[in-house]
Amino acid sequence: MNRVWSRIKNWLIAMGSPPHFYRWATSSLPWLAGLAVIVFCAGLIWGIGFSPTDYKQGDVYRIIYIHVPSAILAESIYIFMAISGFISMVWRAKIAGMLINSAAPLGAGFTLIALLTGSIWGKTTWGTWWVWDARLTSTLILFFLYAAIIGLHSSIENKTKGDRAVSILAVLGVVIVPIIKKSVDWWQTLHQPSTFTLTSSPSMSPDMYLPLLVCVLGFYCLFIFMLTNSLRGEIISRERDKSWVKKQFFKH
Amino acid sequence: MSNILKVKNLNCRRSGEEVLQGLSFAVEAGKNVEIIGSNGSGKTTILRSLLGFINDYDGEVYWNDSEVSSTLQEGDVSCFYQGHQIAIKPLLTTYENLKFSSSGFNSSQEEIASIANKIGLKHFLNRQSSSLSAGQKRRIAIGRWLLKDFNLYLIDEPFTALDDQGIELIEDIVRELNNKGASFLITGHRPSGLNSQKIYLDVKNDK
Amino acid sequence: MTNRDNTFDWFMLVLRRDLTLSFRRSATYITPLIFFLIVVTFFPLALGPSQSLLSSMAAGIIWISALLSSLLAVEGIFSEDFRDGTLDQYFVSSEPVFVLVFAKVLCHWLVCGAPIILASVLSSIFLYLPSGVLFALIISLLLGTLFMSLLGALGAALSLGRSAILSAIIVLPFSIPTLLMGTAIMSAAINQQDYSGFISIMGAMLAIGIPGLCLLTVEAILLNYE
Repeated sequence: MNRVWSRIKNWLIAMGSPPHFYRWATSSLPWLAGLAVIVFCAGLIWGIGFSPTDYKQGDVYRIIYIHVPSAILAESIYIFMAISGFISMVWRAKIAGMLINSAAPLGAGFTLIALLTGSIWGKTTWGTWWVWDARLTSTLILFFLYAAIIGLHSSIENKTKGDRAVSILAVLGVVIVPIIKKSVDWWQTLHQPSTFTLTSSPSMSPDMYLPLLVCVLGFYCLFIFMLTNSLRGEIISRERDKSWVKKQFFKH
Repeated sequence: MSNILKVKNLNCRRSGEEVLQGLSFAVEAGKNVEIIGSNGSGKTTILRSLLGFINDYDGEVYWNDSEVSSTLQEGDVSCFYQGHQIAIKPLLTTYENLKFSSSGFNSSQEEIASIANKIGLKHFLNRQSSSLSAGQKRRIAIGRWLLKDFNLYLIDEPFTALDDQGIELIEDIVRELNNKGASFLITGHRPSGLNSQKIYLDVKNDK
Repeated sequence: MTNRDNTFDWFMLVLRRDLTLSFRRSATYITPLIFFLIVVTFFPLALGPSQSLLSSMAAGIIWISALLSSLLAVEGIFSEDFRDGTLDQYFVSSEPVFVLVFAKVLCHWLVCGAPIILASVLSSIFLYLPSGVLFALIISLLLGTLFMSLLGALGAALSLGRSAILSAIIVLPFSIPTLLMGTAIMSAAINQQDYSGFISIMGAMLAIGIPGLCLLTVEAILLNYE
């Protein structure tokens, strides 16, 4: 067990160095892309094309195969950014800081997709484009948190300094986000005693549930691919004056 | 002779750019060191790295003859710092600027009045600093050196905006404090008349 | 000479100096108050002067205005000290800087919070706030504005030298729990229910927030030195 743990630790430490990560990213990207495409498409096609029709909501509910994974990813990415932020603050790992910068737009994108799909779902089932239910409200607030991180980073000229600034925000965020969710939940029950949740999924049969799981997995694979790609580009652009970059490109 | 501060092979960086390489010097108790260089040569960066504002440096820093390289906080040396910006609040009077400072807050009214006398601002004690000249504000900053005893004074460009009398005042005070065993590490554009070891910086490199 | 007993002296030094400075410059405590009143005035202007409408929204309007006023007021908390070298002295002092940061925030809250609370009591008349809830209003705002000052200080440190509006988008999402708690206290008070539970929650948030946010603020300030 100890051997496994130390192997993981060594791998993490090695990954912390930009040139090493860059090389790993370049070689892994085609695989990551392939994996992402396969799982993502498999999940979506299965869910949207082949799962049974819900007797209550009809075929519209299929939007759940995009909405739920996006929402899950939106939250996971924030936690992921917070962990990176913590690592970057405590161990001063440069990669961890750059990770936040690359992950934030992706997280914001997924949040937006979750909001849009949630809105469309609402329009077709409840007749309104928006409703202030707990989930949607929390997701909207999460979007603002992402916007704050992106805004802060873009306003600081020195990128490394910007990384450290957003680490602080991300770490603060991860502490406050559960509090926000709890308080929004509670706020919603205070103002709307009926259990009116837009995004409550009816008890799902395995026929619907399994493709959903595959979709979630697919979205994760997609995220990992896009993150690696973006991070690789970020590394090259930041370290362009360093000797290892020149060596890398003049090798070819 | 004990070294209050000893620096070996200091490499300083500012915003990720190397500013200084391979600087080594020692400050003995009761003696002074002057770091002289043009703008951008890294004088302020050296002070800020030693004081712990900037963590981006390599090299060994030994405080108080210790065997181990450490930061200022760990080194347990009482230091006084005056930066480029001398932290004089225009809305406060001379008395308040002296009292509400890192060295003055435990001083009594009489002590502050006598220091004001010494720096030539006796009649301006209750005048708001906004109405004082740049040279007079500098004298308030100098007054702060006297309010408490420190082992090491790190002063960034102490002679700016001072006339001959002001320069003489500093020289007298430095001499007096040296006799008490305190040392000065100052920076400047050109060598001063102080009795000190002078270190000249080229841009980008130590001499 | 790094005795820890000095920390209290340093705390008092920062507090006294900042209080002296704040009172010399009347703009410090008058402008948040005026801003608050202007924002409050905009609501009846925009929504119409109907007493029943305003009365039902009064608590929320007051809370939002208080939040925005505190946020804007704390914007410049570090800029002067950073520019004139006073902030440097905190770091050289070998005292825990977050204690000194708290001294600054506390001073700011004392100086700007009181006018805001005063303005909110005034606004309760303008907005026909239901009677009997003034005590709840004052206490919830006292706790809420302190938390906002802490958050705002972090925002100010992160966006030091840059726009205030950036600081606002950073800080406002994090102030949502405070807003929800504060308005919950008000609703409970209006419905004559017990709101002590919410007060304890806000108290707990402050107990964690004071050291936590001040520590993060110190990190944020240090970034500006590189």
